[in-house]
Amino acid sequence: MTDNPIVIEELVKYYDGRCILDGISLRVPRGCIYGLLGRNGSGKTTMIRILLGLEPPTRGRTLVLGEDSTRLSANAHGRVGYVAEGHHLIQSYTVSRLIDLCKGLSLHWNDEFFGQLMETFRLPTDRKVKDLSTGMRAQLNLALAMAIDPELVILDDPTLGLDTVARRQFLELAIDVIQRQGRTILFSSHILADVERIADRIGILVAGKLVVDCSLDELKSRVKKLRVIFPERTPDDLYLTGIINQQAMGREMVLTVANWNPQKQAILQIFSPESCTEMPMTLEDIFIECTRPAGAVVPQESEV
Amino acid sequence: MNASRRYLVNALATGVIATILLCTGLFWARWLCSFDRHLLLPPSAREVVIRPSRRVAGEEGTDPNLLAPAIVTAAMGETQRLFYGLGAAQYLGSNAFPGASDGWRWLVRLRDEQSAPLRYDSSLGLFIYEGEDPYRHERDTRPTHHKFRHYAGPNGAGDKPDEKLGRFSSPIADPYAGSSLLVYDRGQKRFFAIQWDARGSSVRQGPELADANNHHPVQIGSIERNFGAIHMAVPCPTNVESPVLTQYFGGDRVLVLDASGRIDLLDVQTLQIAGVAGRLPTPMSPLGVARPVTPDDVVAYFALPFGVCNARQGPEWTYRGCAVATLSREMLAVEVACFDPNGRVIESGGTMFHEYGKSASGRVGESLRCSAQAAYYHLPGARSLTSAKLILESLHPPVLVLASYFASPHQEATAGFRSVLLLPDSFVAMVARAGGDMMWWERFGRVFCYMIPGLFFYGFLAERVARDAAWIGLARKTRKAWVVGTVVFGLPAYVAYRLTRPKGTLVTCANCGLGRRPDMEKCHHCGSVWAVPELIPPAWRVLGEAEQVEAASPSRAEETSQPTKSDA
Amino acid sequence: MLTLIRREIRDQLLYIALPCFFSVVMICIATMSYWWGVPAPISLALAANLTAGLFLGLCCLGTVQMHTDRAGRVSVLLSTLAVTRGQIFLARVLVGVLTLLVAVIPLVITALVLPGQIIPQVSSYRHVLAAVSVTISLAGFACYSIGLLVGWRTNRAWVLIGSILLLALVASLVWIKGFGVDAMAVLLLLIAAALLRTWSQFVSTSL
Repeated sequence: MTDNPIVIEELVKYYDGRCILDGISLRVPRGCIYGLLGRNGSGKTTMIRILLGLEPPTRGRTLVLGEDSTRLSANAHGRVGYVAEGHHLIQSYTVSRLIDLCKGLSLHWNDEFFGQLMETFRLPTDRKVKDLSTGMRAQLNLALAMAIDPELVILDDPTLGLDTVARRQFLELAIDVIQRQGRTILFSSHILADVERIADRIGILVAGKLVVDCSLDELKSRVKKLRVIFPERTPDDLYLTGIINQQAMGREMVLTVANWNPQKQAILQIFSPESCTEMPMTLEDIFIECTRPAGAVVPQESEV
Repeated sequence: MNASRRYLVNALATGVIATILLCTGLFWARWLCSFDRHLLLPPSAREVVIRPSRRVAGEEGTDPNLLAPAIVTAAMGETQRLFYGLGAAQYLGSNAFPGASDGWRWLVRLRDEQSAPLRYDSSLGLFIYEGEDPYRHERDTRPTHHKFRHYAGPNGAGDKPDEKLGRFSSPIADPYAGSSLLVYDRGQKRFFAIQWDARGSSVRQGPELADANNHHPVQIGSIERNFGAIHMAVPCPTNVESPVLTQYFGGDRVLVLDASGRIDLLDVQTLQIAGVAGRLPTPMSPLGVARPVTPDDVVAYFALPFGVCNARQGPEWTYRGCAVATLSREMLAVEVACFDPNGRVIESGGTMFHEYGKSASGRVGESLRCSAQAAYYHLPGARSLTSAKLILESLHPPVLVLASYFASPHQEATAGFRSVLLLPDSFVAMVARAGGDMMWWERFGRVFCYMIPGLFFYGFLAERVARDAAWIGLARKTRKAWVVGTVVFGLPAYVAYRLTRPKGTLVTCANCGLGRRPDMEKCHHCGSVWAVPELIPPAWRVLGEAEQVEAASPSRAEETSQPTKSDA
Repeated sequence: MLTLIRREIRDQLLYIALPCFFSVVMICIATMSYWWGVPAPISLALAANLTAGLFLGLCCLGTVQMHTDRAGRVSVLLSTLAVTRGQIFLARVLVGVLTLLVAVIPLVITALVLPGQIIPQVSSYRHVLAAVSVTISLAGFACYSIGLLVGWRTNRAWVLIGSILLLALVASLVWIKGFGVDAMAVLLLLIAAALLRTWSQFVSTSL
């Protein structure tokens, strides 16, 4: 039993000469539900595929359940449940045949739990996988991943392509399943409300780097969006480290700042603002602020 | 298995596959060249006729005015013979049809009695003769079929495989023998005569060969190899009233082929070598006369004894000599020689190509060229085929070409039809087998000349490999191994390199501007660490407590890429 | 492992049946030749053609096993279950071996039962039969291994052209080398190299 089921060390991945992941380091502790966020093409799926040994890393290394991802044993594979983006199931198989195959190739198969899931999802076992709807495939994939009693669950955008109702149903079941069994989960999604509901810890990938890696509460407390009104016009020489975004309009300036702390507040007070109001931020707001293109960020030159 | 070991395994496996498949492809290309070259030869260049007339005793018969001149003709077989040289055809030819020996078990079958096979059982060390005797009468009643099986060993024959019969060790015998089988036992170095009879067989033992070290018989009786690849005939005059010269069917003398190529005469009565009957003549090779040949040096040979039979006085035969023909390795030249009863050459000749053209002095005339050389250099289209052959041999792995030089003198002549990796019929191998007084350095010089095109080609490939390997940042040791490998193993090594070289697009180094491998920590050109200018991550980080400490001291790569954007 | 083997057999049933079909045809022809007394050259020519069919069938099996996997991303699912890629590959190869045995063993038995039909009037029949059947089996397996190697490519045209070309080369090795130990050694070397390279590619490429 390892304390960190997922360990990523200085992971670099290039595709056709293009850098996707640039020196990512990450540890996901046991029992943690980790929400991995990022825009399209930011490298979330690549990172997950590298973790599962489906893709070789360009540099660096990844460990899953204490084993190197490039040489994962059958035992380690059997302890990881994976729901892939797009649900890579064997399309030509019938559902029952696929179930038989997965059952035959699992270390543990929880028949009772799997039966419950199948009953809830009402999946037709006699139909071919390719004839199932996207939602049904997602449900089947989740059921198959959960039936093996995995120590680690990796969900790569599992709700992609689902309608709102199916997504909600899927998510509720997933949350129920996940929370009930207390597993370590790596969860990637674009539906931030979903992530906000279930994640303990958040990671955000921007430009190949993991710019956010902390607990959800910590993230909310450390990233602040402030509306500052100055007596006259906004100062040109307001230098703060960790400015994520800054917009000025006349006397008003809207600042999004990372790692907000008393020192930064003191620096802001030097410019004697008339008022400084904190604007409430949801995870989605934080994500949007964090993933804005780099050009939109005002370059920072001074050091606090 | 770690990455470097996997790379090595992958490179070796790819090399082996490339070598086998490439050599197989080259084999067929060379085979087609041989086939075409064989087709070039006109019928006149495929046949040789010698007339040892008046030098063979017995030509005249009883009437000195009537002469039955001795004419010996020998011709190479059809082009289809090239198919029969291929391994599968040869295997089936020598194993699946009666009257031949094979690597598994020696076997002969009596020519007249298909139902009574005669064979050698190597586990018993005995010859076995079995069949049915349909004419055995018991108590004067109707004939009954009596099954019998006789065993014959060096000490005698019997109905049971008794130890008293002794054991033959590695015997040879005439596969076309009749009821009297002549056997030479290589272990005991003596001849035996086994007389088979359904009602009781007997074995006669000859004395041990006097000069046993100089005698290594390989064939007795019918001296022939690859029957059909070479046709040979001596005239059989129809005048049976007088003793005439014809093919010898007498039983007193039998030809014995020695491993050295010499043909001895065996006296069947005494089972001793009675003298030398002749030797295998040496056919011309495209590079000139080869060394004296052994049975393994020629694709086919055939020896035909002739003698005088006086029909009036009964089946009385007098041995008068023999004619022997051989077919060269390339199947492009036949050499025939006629020997007198003492083994001296009376007449010899080889297949020739008659070329008509102007000489240097401007005279139109006929010149004779050896058929093998004509097929390589003089016939229309021959030079193109020769060039193609040289190119194909140059594409072969150089180490195997060189190995062919050393191996070819020890490879039997038909090996070229089945050899994928070595080249027993290459120019280099011809040099190795060439006769004459060539010094070793002269031989190597000629070998080098033939290898020059290949060496140039592989030098060029090795240079490309070296440049490419440096460009993609292979380690110096690996680079050297690939360069040496390409020079030594040639095209397969190059193919293996191309198929196993690190894949992926090179990334422009921010420091030196050259392409660098993404999977290496430092640029293999300038040694600089990574900078990814196309990615501009923000300077800030929101990391957990532990990570914040780490983030306070950014990595070197980050320092290089964004020296002014460090966060607290 | 058994589950993987069962899956392979069920998925590739048609292609497993193909070499067996050629084998059955060969058995039928040998039996009919025995009763009708077909001349040796004709039965040999038929046997040679059907053996080429057997090689083709085995090569197809290897190619299809790898190509359908890559195209249908079967191994993506399999390798996230409790198996390694090495095991997936091994199961695949075992199915190839099984197919070969199923195709060749009845043929050998027929040749033993009806002596002289496949290789007529053979002297030391069993030795020749052993040499021929071992060489043919090895050549068939080499064709299968080459199929595996070529089938991993994604481009269909390359797969088709490559497998036909390489199949012709490998099958022609038997013509060149015959049925002796030499042929067996070369074929064994080729099989080992082809399997090693395919395995190396299969376990290291991204799925």
